[in-house]
Formats: sequence, C-alpha cells, structure tokens
Amino acid sequence: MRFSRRWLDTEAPAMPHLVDAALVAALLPHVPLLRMPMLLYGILILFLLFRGTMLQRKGLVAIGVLGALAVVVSFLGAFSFVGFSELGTFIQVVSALLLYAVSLQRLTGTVNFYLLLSPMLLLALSYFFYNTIFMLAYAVGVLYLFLLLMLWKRMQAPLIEALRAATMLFAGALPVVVLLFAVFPRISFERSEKFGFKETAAIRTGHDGLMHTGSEALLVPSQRIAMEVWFETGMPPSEALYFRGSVLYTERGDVWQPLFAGREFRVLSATRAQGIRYRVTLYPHRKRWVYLLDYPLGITPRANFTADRIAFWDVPVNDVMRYEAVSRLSERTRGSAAPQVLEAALEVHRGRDPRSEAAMERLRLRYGSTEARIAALNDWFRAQRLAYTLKPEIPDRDHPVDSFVFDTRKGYCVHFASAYATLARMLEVPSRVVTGYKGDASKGIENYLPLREEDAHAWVEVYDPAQGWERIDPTVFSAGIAATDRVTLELLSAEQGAWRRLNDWISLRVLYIKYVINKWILYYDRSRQMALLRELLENTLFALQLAAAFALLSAAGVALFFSLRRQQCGDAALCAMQPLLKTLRGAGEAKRPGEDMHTFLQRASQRFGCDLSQIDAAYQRVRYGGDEERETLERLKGLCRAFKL
Amino acid sequence: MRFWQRFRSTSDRTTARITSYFWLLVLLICGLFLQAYMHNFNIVYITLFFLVGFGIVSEVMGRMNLSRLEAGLLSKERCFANRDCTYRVRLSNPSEAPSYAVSVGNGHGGSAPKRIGAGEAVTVPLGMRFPHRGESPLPPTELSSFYPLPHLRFGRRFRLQEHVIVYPEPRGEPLETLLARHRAPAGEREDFDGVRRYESGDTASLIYWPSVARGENVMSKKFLLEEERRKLRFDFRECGADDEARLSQLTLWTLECEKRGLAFSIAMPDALLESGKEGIDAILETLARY
Repeated sequence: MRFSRRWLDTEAPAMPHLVDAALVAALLPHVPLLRMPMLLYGILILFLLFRGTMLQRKGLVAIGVLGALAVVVSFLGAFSFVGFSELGTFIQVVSALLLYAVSLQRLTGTVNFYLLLSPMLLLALSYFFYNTIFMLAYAVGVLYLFLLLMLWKRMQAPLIEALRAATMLFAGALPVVVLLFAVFPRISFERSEKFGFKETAAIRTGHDGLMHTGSEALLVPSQRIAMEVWFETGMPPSEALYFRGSVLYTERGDVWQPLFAGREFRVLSATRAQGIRYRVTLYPHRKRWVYLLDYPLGITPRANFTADRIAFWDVPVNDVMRYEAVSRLSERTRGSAAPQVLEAALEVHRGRDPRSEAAMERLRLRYGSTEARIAALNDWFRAQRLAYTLKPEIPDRDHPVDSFVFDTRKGYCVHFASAYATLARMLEVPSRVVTGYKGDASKGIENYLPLREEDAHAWVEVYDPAQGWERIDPTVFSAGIAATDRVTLELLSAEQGAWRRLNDWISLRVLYIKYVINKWILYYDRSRQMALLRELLENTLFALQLAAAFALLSAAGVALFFSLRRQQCGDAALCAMQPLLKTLRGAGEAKRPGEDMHTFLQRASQRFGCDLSQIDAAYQRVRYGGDEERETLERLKGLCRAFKL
Repeated sequence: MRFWQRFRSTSDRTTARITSYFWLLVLLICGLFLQAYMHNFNIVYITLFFLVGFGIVSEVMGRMNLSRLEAGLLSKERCFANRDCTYRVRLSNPSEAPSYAVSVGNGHGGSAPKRIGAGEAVTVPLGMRFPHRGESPLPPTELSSFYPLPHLRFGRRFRLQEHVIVYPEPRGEPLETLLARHRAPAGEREDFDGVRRYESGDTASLIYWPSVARGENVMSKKFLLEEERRKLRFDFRECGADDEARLSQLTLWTLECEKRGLAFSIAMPDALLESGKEGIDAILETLARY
C-alpha cells in the first residue's frame, strides 16, 4: 500500500523515458511479426537503452549499418514485385524501417518531433495485422497510456493526478466515441482478406460432404465452435433448429454420397426474401458449402443454391465467414421433384437386409398412401426401442440395416438416419439423408446460439407427392441412451455435475459476450448500420431505448468526469471539514485561497450568526495534535456532518 | 439551466487558439480515416473517434482549467521609464479542482507553467518596461495553458485595475561628480581623511601624487566635507538641457540621496520639494507627473 502510494506520488520522469514507455507499448504487437534478424536488432537496442548508452557518431554509424543489414536480411525473399504486392509484407517492411529509424534517433538521446510521433505510427501499423477482441482491448489500453504519459509530463504533477486527468478525458470522450461509431457513415470497400492474421486459423473438421456409417463413423465429441448464429427476431424452438449442410442420396457400402447429376441451381439474396432472418459466423471447415436453417430462402453474400436447398460458394471456407440468411421454418418444397432425383431417392440394395425388407414389405402391403406408410414406419421404428450411444458397435457391412435394427440396436444419428432412409425406400417412399447441425435453444442466450462440433447431426427427408420433402429426425425415435455407455450418459445426461454446469454457464456467456463484441464492434458495417437506422425509424420504442441508453452513458461519463475533477483532500482534518465547507459554500461563503481555517470560520460565524467555535477548536486540535487526536477527529467529522444553517 | 450558464460563462472567459499540434492531430485523424475507410477496420475507427473525443473534451477541460482562476496585484516595485521593473501578481484558485500548467504573462515576459491546487494561491513576479514617465495602466495579465493536450492553447486575460507611476529614467551626472565639482578648494574641505582609488572625474588637485610617484595605483585624496552634512539643493532649471533631461537628472540625484541618507530639496518651477517634508516616493511621483 505504502509502495503503491509512493509510486502514485511520483513526478513525471524525463521525456526520453516517457517516449521509451510509449514505444515499448506500441511495439508489443509488432514483436510476433518481426523476423529473427530484426528481433535480434531490437533486443540489442533495448539492451543499449537499458544501460543508458547514448551513441556518438561512430557508434551510430555502426548501429545504423547493423540495422540496415537486419532489415535487408529479414526481407531478402520479399524484394520482388510479387512480395510487395502483398500488403501484409509491405506493412511489415514499413514497420521494420520505422523501428530502424526510431532506434537510431532514440540512441542519439534527442527527443524530436518524429520520435514523439512514432508510437502512434507504430500503433496504426499494427492495426493492419490484427482485428480481434484482444487487439481492441490493447488499442484502447495503449491510447490511455499515451494520453497518460502526455498528461503526466504536461501537468508536472504526481502520477495519481495524471491518472485522474487521463480517466476524465476517457470518460468524457466515451459518449462521443459511441455516438460517432454508431452513426458515422460507413461507405467502405470490402474488407481486404488477403493479408493479416485471422481470428481463428485452425482447421475445423466439420462435415466432409459424405456420411460414414462404418468404422469411420466413430465420433469424437468436440466442444469447438463450428458456427455462431444470431437470430434477428427471437430464437426459434429447438425442434426447428436444423441447419442443413449436405443432402445425400446414394448409399455406397457404408458411405452415403450426394447426387451430382441433373441438379438445378437457383440464386437468392437474403435482402429480398421474407422469413426468419439470422446472421451466421461460420468457422473454417475447408469445404464450399455453408449451413443454413431449414428451409433456406436466401443468403447474402450471394451463393449458389441447389434444388436441395444447399448453398455453397465458389471457394472453400478457409477463413471465418459471416453471412446473413433467411429461412422459413414451416415451408415444404412443394411441387414435383425431378424424376432422376426421385429415382435416386428410391435406390435400395434389394436382398442385402432381408429381415428389414420383410418387415417393410408387410407395412407396404398394409398401407397404400405415402403419408400412411411414413406414419407406420415411424411407429415401427420407435417400437424397435433402439438405443442412442456415442460409442456404437460397428454394424455388419453386408447387412447394415438389419445389423443396426435387429442386432446391435444402438448407434447415433448417422445410424438412425441411414437405417430410416433405407427402410423408407423399402416402403417405396423416396428418402434422402441430410447432414448438418442441430441446435438446442437451451444452449443459447437470447438471440444467440453457438453450435459446436458435437452438435453435428444427420436426419432424413422423405418425399410425399402431396407435400413435397418432409423432414423426419429418426434419432428422436430412440428409446434412450444405452445404459452401458457412460461417456454418452455423462455428455447427455441432465444430471450433470455442478462444476460442468458452471463451466458451461460461464463458457456460454463468454462466447456470447465475444460474439456481441464481434457483431457490434469489430464487424459493425454498413449493412448493420442501415439495419440499425431502419429499426430506429420504424420502432419508436427501440429508438427511445437507444436514446435512453446513450443518455445514461453520457450522464455516467459526465458524472465520472466531474467527480474525478475535484481535488482529493490531502489531510484527515481537511477531509473531515469537507461537509461543512460544502454547506457554507452552498450558502455563498467560500473559504478564500490562502485564508486560514480559523479566520474563515470566524467570518462565517459572523455572517450567519452561528456558533462554529466547537468545530474550530476540534479542527485545530486535529490539525496540530497529530495521531493522538483520533477521537477528536471522529467528533469533528460528526460535528461537520451534523452542521446545518 | 445553471449548468448551461456556467458553461457559457466558462466559455466566455477563456479563449482557445489552435497550435501546430492541432494540424498534426488533423493529419493523424485523416490518416486513420483513410486506413479505416479503405478496409473497414473498426478498431481504427474507434481510435479515430477517441482522438476526436479527446479533442472535444480537452477543449472543455482546458477552458475549465483557467476559468475559475482569479488574479490580483499583490505588490509592485518602483518603475522607471526604460528600466525593467517587477510587480507581483497573486493568482488564486477558489474552485474545488486544481489548475495545471498555468503560465502567467503580460506580453513582456512570463512565468514557467505552474500547478495551482484547489483553494491555493501562488505569487508570480512579472517584469515590465515602460517607455515613458507618468501614470500608466498595468498591462493585462494573461494566463495561458496547454493543458490537457497541446493542440489548443487556452488563454484568459485579466485587466488589473491598477495604475503604476512610472518615474523618469534616472540618468545624468552622478551625485558624487556633482559634489566633487562643487567642492571649493577653500572653506569646503575640512580635514584630510585618507586616500581612495581614483575615480574618473576627480580633479587634478585631488590626486594623491605620492602614490603616482611610487608607481602604485593612482589614488585620490579624501576630505571630510562640510557640505555633506548640509542640505543639498537642486534647482530644476539648472540641471539639464531640456525638461526630460532635468527630470531624469533629478530622479537620479533623488535616488542617490536616498541611498546615502542625504537630505535634499528640489526647486521646481512651481513648488519646492523637500525630502524632510515629503517622502521620496512623493517627490518621485511629482517628477513623474511633471
């Protein structure tokens, strides 16, 4: 405490040291970008500065040559037009040259205008490389530090007072920043993605466009986030949260594959479509398709759209992608499907699963209509009391459906979907398997829903000529979790431990906060600004809420500003007198600068006709009596608080 | 309403002028805007808006820093025409907040930036040089500060309702020379009182020749002068070529007499000024206002 007090009472050091502090702070994000020769050069400069070495002409020439060599060696491979066409490389060269110039100037011991400006330039250069929440926090922190150092020197006051002044400036500037950030017109070009470090460059597994039901289907549940969804108008119920990724028709061995022939493409834009509007942040999965909520109507930016309502881009998703989409929960794809599609959706390996075929044959003969057959199949499938497990036994490749339904009797979504689709085809009902993600509304907050890799799912669509394609999730027909599967029980059981519940609760909220910051700050763009403006114009309540929030923020900023502006009283006696001084000041009698307390109290007594002698006496005792007068101090506080005119 | 009135009053009392750092700030904002605009870097936008916010808030802070200060004349020295004189200004801060980096000046000189704590006062000496004798108003006291940020220079001007009497510039023949010139060989020199170093203007009769003969420093003889114990009389009409020269000469003699503790009188065309009856300042003021 005493140490911190002493530290806070420190006067500003010499200008070169303040510049050093600013430079070190500004250089931090550049350190991971520096190539080895420049890094070694930087360490050498730091060592010299730490020793307080200031160089003369010869020393400067030597360091200059060394630095020039470090720059040249660092960017030896980049000295071509190809290398410089990459903005990232170009900015790296610029920052290395800046570091070189700054180090030489600093070693002369003279702080000139350019040296003063260089921390800000270094900060601006680092913005090219990072666009993350950490960078946002760092940028705000460094701005505060720059401000603090500047004020500290200018005020010629202890650090604590510079801290107060810097915080005042920040508190006052914050409403301006918020307002400008929200309303400043964004007419930007597309954000360049050709350089810089992306937030997450990890390769995600995701779906590979196929569905394996054999040994490759062994699942490793992963908590990694696959995508994040923000629904503009409330989160749909869990039963509707199916995000389709691939549609598979053909079963080859233990692999389901998509149908490539005779596909029909349509392109929709999310800005024109009507329905549930949502924004998706999709993490890299190295494939071209994107995940959309059933049943998708449109997507922005534009994507290729298949008749199976699968959207994909021309290039794989190798970076974090953000898109806006519109879906309609209840829509079915009415109208007839293409004959070749229906033909593929009826393809079944006759004779491979005799027991299943016999059971389906009985149902087929009993029920004539497609609708009745689907209902009968659902009942039959549920009656098999198949168990859900994340550790299934590998089904018999020669009789996969029979093996799953009659022998192993346990599996997870892919086994349920594969078996159901095949059984439907045995009933002469066209079917196809859809893979994607299944959300759970209880795992989201408000309009935000994170989807993890463990939420990957497979379900079935069956075709009814009267209704079109209809989604059926066979996994919900399971009789429960396999009693022997401890892992599945632990993962899916409602009886989770307190620690895990707390962990989930915290991680969900951290994700939510991160997403909100990303959404409203880092990736706030023209479209979001326009949406905000539309909402303001159309929704009076929202406009009022926003105005109230802004007013509250401004009021908090102003309150903080004025509370920090007041000088803190230095000694206990004066602090105790503050309520009295405030009351008298309010009545128009302020203590004059340089006036002693006794004279002031006498003057106030005469003006207001009140007796302040007790307070005067107590003040004098505390002021000059030292530590022995603690009781008097308490009494003085009480007297001052109780004083009324 | 009260807040607004206070804000208006703060704004009216102070001035803000841009400095070269203002253009640097503009340049920085433009550069950041291009960076943000080209790539839609929201962190850059935030930095940019913070700079704008700092610029706006620092104007409020800078004005508040000076607006509550009060200045008054504390004391002044004698001022003579064409000579440096000093007066002291008391700068007090009756507000609850300290004021930082406050420089005080009057157009001729100033003080280094100071911190003035809440409820505290500082005394600042200010130099001045008046070209003419007579009564002159004190120049306005100018407070200036680059607090909190250097892109604006805040100022506040106080007109001290005080006048200063500028006395004539003391110049002319030194009193010693005058006395030496008027010392008659007979009757005025009493007893020999030793030797002193030769001073320019000493007559040849005063030179102590034995020291010259010995090759030592040239010395002059000292006598006890009867005249020094008598009152000196200066006549305005006889001590200079024109009025200004006469006033300057009389001012010089007045000051030297004051320094030596000699009684004197000055015969002005319309009055007789006697040091025994009037104070030195009154005599000097009469000369200043002539």
